[in-house]
Amino acid sequence: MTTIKRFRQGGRSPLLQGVSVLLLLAAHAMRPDAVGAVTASGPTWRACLSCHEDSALSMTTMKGEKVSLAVTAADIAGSPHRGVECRGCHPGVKLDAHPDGHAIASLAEFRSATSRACLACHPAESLRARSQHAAVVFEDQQFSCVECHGSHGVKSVAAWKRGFAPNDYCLVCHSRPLTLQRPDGTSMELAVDALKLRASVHPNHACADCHTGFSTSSHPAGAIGERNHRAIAAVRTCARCHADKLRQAEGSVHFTLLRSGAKGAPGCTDCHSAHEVAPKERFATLAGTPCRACHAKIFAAYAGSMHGKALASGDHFDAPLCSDCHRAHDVQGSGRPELVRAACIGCHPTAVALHSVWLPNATLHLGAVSCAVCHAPQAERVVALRLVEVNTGRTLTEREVADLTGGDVRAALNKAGSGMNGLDLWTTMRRLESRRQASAEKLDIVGRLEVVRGIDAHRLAGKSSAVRDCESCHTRGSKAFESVALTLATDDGRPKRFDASQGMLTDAASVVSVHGFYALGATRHRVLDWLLVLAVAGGLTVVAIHLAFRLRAARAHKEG
Amino acid sequence: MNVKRIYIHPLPVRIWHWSNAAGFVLLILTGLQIRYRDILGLLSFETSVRLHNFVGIALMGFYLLWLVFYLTSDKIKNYQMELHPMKFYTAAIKQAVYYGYGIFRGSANPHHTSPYTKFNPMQKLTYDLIMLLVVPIQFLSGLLLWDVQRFAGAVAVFGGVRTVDTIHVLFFIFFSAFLPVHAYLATLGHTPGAHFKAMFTGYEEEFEHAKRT
Repeated sequence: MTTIKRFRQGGRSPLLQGVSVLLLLAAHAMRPDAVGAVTASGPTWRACLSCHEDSALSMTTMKGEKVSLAVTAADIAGSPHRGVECRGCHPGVKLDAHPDGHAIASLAEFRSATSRACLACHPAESLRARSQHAAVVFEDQQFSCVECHGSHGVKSVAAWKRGFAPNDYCLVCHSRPLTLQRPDGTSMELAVDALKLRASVHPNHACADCHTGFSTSSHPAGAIGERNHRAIAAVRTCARCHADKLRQAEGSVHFTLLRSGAKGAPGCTDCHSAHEVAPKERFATLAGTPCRACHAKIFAAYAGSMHGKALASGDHFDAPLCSDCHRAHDVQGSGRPELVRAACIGCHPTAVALHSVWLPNATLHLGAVSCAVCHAPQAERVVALRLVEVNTGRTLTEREVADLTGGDVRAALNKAGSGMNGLDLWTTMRRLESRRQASAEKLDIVGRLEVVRGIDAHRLAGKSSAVRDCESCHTRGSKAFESVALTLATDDGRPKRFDASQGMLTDAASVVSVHGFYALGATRHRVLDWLLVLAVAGGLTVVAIHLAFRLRAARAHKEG
Repeated sequence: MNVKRIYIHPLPVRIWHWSNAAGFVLLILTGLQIRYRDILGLLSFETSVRLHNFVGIALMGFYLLWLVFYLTSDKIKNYQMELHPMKFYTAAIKQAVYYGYGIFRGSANPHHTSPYTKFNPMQKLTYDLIMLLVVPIQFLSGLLLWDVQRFAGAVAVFGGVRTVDTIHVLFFIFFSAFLPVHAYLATLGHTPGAHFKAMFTGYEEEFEHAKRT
């Protein structure tokens, strides 16, 4: 767009100054008899210029577009076509009936029609030999010849290219709506908004800085790879200047997905865009955070939370956005709960102290209960059991378990789905442990109370709405402990849950299987309940029997 | 009938005993409330936990006083077990036979109380086990549960919070069953209230055919 404007303003290239005239004449070329070999010898165009040198000469299309009909002698004299007579390109013009009053439908239609005149001397086959040319000019029919090459002031291609700054040359085509279809059916946007490019944080980058191998003389015709390959290629490009960010992103859930070939996995440009890279500060705004594009539902939940509302109010610019909890480049999901907890504590460093005022074992609670369990009070909860390395505390991922079990995690978890019990889980863990390298860490099962759905963890309510009554958890039959699931982190960072039996929290085997997770009252042993009844009843029975004998003996003593 | 008033229970022991008794009753009640919130509604969970923690820590202090008293007093002989097995078993069986049979026939208590032998062989074994094993374990497990995070290392050594809690609950069950039995056994004096009175005054009344726990 900018490039075109410059042409119209008489900038570095004058080519388009005469385009409109050619377009008018091209109307005649649309006639069936119009396109033929150009055989004229000697310039007779001065006769035509007697009228068309008038710079005010113009006409209006049926769509109301004003088209200049002016042609300058200088244009023609400097053109490689200066030896071609006007009729060579305008064979249909009859000077005894010109103008003939033929109506022009639109400028675009005429631009397209001009190609027919050009093709008389420049066969389509030779143009198709250049794939990009063919794609843009013929397949998509987005450009007519005159738009790039001009009409009367046609220059040699080499001379024409010299008139452009490198980026402007690229934008001749890429400022237009260009898309290419990938083999997988998806399309790739090739258009670049020149204004936004200049407003980005990369205004002084040459296109070739990123698009290596491309220049005014080189346009490699590589096939457009599938989306992930392009994204990975873009990552490599960005990493040439932003290696530190790539190092951060290497272990992110996004890059893990990208490498695994997951559809839709984002690379750098999916968040930052390719050509409209915004300044860092933009990402710290509700409108500018890129996460919402892919995680719209979760973002909506967040926007309704106390955090989202605080940020939207404009009074709390320090309220967290997505990246404050999930990180910006080393993006992590809730599959690694320790990171989420660290994010909460990071902004609320006094949380432990404040909870300690009223909550016994506050540190333990804040470790064994996710913040959202109490601060998103409407959320459904689950006891998430994880397989962790004893010394490092690192949690096993679904992929690791799959590798150890030959791929079928659910089958390996024995009765998963129909309610695996504590012993199932314990024996499975031991089996996994035996299949690991001898040097590998010992495994353990760690429990944590979490919200079932990640979206609920984003619906954080204000402090006054948070759960504070202990009974809601520490009571047998509490809803908080109705669901139990072995939880494994997936590649995309989300927790994947494999249902387990609720009874595993209270049966005798729980002392072994979930020895690290216990909620007073709520997950108590049933066996111990019965033992208490039996012990107290037994003691009282002995007392009662002994007392009865004492009373009988005392009565006998009195009587006797 | 000769009646001897023997000073058996020094003041520190009496203070400890009744504090301990009140504390254990409170611990059992709050423990029941904590564990059976779905059945009992005497106190809120939060209050129960706070009270349980407070009383538990206070009792640990009283236990230390008891320990220091006996370690620095010749009264520790009351807890010294008969190390000769045959003598111990013979005396213990005699005592058991008395409680299970002789007491109903008006037999004499085979054990005679003195300031250094206030426990019969069965009591001595029971209270040695309770004071030197059960109570310390219960206090230790309670302490670990009081601040699981602070004592995370020790909790892990004992097999995790659930294991520690299970040990704590097992001894809670023991105390819940023992306390009424202990109170009943205290009625086996020459009158049902004799031993209770002695634990207030410090003086046991020794009769020729006196019975005691």
